[in-house]
Amino acid sequence: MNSGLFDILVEYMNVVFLVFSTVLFGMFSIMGYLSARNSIHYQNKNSFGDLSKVMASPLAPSITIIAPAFNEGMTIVENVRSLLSLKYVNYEVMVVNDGSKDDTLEKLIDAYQLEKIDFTLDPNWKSKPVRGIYKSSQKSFSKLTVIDKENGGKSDALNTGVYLSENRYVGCIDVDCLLQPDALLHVVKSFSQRSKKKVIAVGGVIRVANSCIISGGNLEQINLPKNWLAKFQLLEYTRSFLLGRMAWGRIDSLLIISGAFGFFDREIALAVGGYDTNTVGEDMEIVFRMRRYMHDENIPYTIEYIPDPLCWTEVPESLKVLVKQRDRWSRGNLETLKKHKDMFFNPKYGRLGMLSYPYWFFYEWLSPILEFLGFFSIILFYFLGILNWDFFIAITLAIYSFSVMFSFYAILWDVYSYNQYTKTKDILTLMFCALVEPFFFHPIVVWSAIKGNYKKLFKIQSGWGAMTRKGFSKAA
Amino acid sequence: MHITDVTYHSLPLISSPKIHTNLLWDLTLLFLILGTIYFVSVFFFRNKLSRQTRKTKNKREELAPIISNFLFHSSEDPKEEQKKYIQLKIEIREYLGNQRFRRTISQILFDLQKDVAGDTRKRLFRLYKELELHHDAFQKLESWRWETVAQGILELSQMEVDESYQLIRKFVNDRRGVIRKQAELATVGLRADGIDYVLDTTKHSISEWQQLKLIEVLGKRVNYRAPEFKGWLLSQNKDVVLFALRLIKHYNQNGAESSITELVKHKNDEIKIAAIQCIVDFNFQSALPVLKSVFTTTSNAVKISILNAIAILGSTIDIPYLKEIIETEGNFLVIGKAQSTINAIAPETILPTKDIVSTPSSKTNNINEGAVEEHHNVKESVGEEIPESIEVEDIEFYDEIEIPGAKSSEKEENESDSALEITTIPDSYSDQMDDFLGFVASEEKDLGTEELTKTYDETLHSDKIELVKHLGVSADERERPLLEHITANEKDSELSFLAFKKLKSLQNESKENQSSKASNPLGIAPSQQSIFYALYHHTDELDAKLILLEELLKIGDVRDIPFLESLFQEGEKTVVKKAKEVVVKLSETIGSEEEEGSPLNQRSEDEQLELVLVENSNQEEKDDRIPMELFLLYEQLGIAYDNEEEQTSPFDFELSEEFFLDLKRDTNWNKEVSDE
Repeated sequence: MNSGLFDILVEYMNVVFLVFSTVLFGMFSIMGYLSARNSIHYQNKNSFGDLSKVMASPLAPSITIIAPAFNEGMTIVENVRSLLSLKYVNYEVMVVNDGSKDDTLEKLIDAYQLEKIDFTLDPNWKSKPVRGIYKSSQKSFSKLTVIDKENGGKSDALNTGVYLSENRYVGCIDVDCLLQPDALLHVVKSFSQRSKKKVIAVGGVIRVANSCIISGGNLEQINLPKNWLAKFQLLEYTRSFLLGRMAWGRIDSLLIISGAFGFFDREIALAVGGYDTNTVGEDMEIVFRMRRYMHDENIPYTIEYIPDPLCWTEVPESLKVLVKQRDRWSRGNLETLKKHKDMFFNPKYGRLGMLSYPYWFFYEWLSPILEFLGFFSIILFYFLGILNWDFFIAITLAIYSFSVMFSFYAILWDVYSYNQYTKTKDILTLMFCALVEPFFFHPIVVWSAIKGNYKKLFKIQSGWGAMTRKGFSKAA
Repeated sequence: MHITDVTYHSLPLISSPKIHTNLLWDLTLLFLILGTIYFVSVFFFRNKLSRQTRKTKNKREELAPIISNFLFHSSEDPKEEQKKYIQLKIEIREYLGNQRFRRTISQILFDLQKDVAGDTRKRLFRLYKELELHHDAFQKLESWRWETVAQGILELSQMEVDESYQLIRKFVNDRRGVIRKQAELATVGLRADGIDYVLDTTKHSISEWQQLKLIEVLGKRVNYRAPEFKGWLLSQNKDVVLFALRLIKHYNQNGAESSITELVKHKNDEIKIAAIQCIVDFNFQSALPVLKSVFTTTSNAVKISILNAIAILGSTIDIPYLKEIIETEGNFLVIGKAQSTINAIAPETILPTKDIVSTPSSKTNNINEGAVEEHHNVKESVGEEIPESIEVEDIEFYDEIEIPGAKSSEKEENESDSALEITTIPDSYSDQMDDFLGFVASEEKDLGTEELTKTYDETLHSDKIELVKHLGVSADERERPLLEHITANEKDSELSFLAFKKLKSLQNESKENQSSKASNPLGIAPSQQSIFYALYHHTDELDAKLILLEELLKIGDVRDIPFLESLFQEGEKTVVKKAKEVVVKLSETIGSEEEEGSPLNQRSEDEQLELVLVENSNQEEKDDRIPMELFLLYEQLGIAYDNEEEQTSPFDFELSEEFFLDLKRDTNWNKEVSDE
């Protein structure tokens, strides 16, 4: 095996890994810079004026929050109450009961005194049949609309909501997410502060609510999660939302808006046909399609990103659920990239085709596969006795130190901009997570991605996977 | 592999580039150093931020008493206070040399102005200027950093430094967006004519958010007389036109009918939709032909807006046009909207067809032609009877008057519809007739809503009582905004309630106009004839509602039953239960009274109706007096009953001399006012 050709092949493999890593270092460094600039710009720009004054204006644009619910009987009443207490004058809460098998609908009818109303639907509209639309007879719940339909999945439920909404903007959220009271004000401001470009969508940061104390639908106390998996995810979310998406937002190339907190211009969302019901990565896919549509129509547009912590959600605390979630994410990623493959290095789509798509292809989809292969190559080379120890140790340490450095940078920005974890112990814990994450948490993420890709490659049927939530801690 | 002739060393045919591992070690070192810097920075920034917050807090605590001393100082204070004040002035002058101190005090005053009002606010602005802190803000305007300039503009406008107006308005067309927006807000906020300047000069777009904020700033101006915004409908800047439309709507300036109607033909969809919305809001019926003429050439969004407008402004004459749309349009949303528009004009014209099982007897089409035809037949048959019901002289008189510009559609409508019932002459016709007959219109124009509400706010309390009472009797749709304003803002609960009561009756009048007029000669729906109706709807508290129902049981009569029955539709279960309970008990009470031989029971239906009418008219006359239970209830609900008449009438049976003196004084005063 010690032939010259094999040596050369092995050397080339090293070169590939080296180039891949160096480009990654470069891109992440640029992202760090861009996100910092964007954060400072955002903070400066938003230091003037008072949002709440516009809240009461009857001229404020209308918005519908669509919350699909499937078997949410345990928490639905509380969650809807929280949504109804947002600080905004002109909004509607639309809960889409996606054929729940439990008592979700009954609980809603009882709690909010709902009554069935007449409705007409476009027979050509592709979604599962709607069984009924309910409105409350109580004036205090007049903002609430409940749609009862046959089960068709999250995308189908959201599509029905988007279609039946009559407001200019629609927000697609997870019903169990906790929105900050002023969330809609920020969203509406983002939608309406531009006039040269059409804002087609607005996304925001998702924060981890595990172990936080909630009272009356409001976040009473922010705590660091007690569970270690949740702690790792918190660090990952901070990196991803505060640095990654902020940077993509800066260059107007954001390709994903989280399904837990995504707002869209209804007209455009309808024009592209709503969410794709054949993918599990519907939140990313709709953004791809909306962007493509605007490019094809040659309409100046943008997608806004709000770094303020407006949406809080519970992340999985069990390994099984986490793997299922990440497996789904990687399948969704692959499905979307495959569906829009013609955008790959396509100059017609500008930065989208030349930068965003390739990044997602190489560093979101291919990266875990390369890492997985690299791991096995090392074991193989070790047993074959051809492992270049110098190179292996040097590149491993370089990647490790970069990853720790990048996590520290994310923590630094979190402290500088929002400073939500005020205890020194919490910050030290997060830093400790950054140090050990590459050994414990990251392999889980890589494994889940491989699993997802394997399922997709061999067409193994797999749906959404249930997300078991513990529920928010209530204030004493 | 091959051997080179020069060196005799073997060289590979293909080779890989050498990787300098040292480079990787260098990178590792760099990342570790950066990581350490970030680690330290996290705690450094954290401590710095908390230290800063602490320092500012301490400084504020230290300066707060000094500032309040300045703000609340009076020249009439005791000598000791005066001395202290002068001492403070000297001290503060010394401190002002310190830039950091200036910044802190400036920030404190800036924050404080948000929380104070009236005279204190004015003193605060004066203090800000006396300390010459506005010079710092002026300096900020010269900075190259956009956030500093914007901060300076904000500070100057919030502290109402009028001298800064000329300087700030130069930034209205600044290339940096944040400065530009801040300058627009400041220009509008500092001077009443600032909005004119902004609309005249701005070359940039005005985002929707900015428009909302500008309207909010305008709303803060005291005694503001808005200019005629129709002048800016001709602007070349699309956003200025949109903003002008929004302002026209906001300030209820309905004198731009032609311009707004013309904007429906604009090439920009946004402007079209905004103009259509204005047309609907101002009820410009004359715009209907224009809306119809542009329909086919517009986008679906505009089409839907037009259909919405027709639903509100249109009449049965428009149904054939709408049916044509249903037949020719391809878009489902537009077709659906057209169908719902028909139903809005003539309810139940289009019946559901989906999932309806066909039966031999039912012949329902998508459009219920039969229903429309029948409707027309009825009109036609009634129409033939018109000559019999109208005096010949009257017809001749109207025939002689040729009303200029009368709309064909309305003529047609008269042919078919007006025969059914005698309707009031539209205002436009009445004006045209006045012109024809040579009546000179009064030069005094109607006050706008805002002026009306402002005038009301500035009126003396005693006059307010008179006014509200007068409104309670004679207010119509035109007074609705004023009534809304009184209901929302009047501190006197009694006046607020009276306004609310009238407002409620106006709302119901417009809603149930047709049906109630036909079925009820009094013009009031049965459920609203109860004296508890307005009282019930005035209160939001469940307990108060329940107490009211309890009282109703004690003093209620037959007229209260429909009102109680209407409460069965209420969402609140407790109320429904209570209402049902009261109905049962009240019916029992009434039943027993009837058994005892109520005269009402022995009369014919017509006589009963007459009696109700007489009772109602008596009720109106007796309205000044209320049952004792109700009086107590008013007190319980916090509705003051302190006006003169109410205080005296239930208990005083004789009129005192003072009453006549007061009456005389009032009459004289009124005379003086009218003479003036």
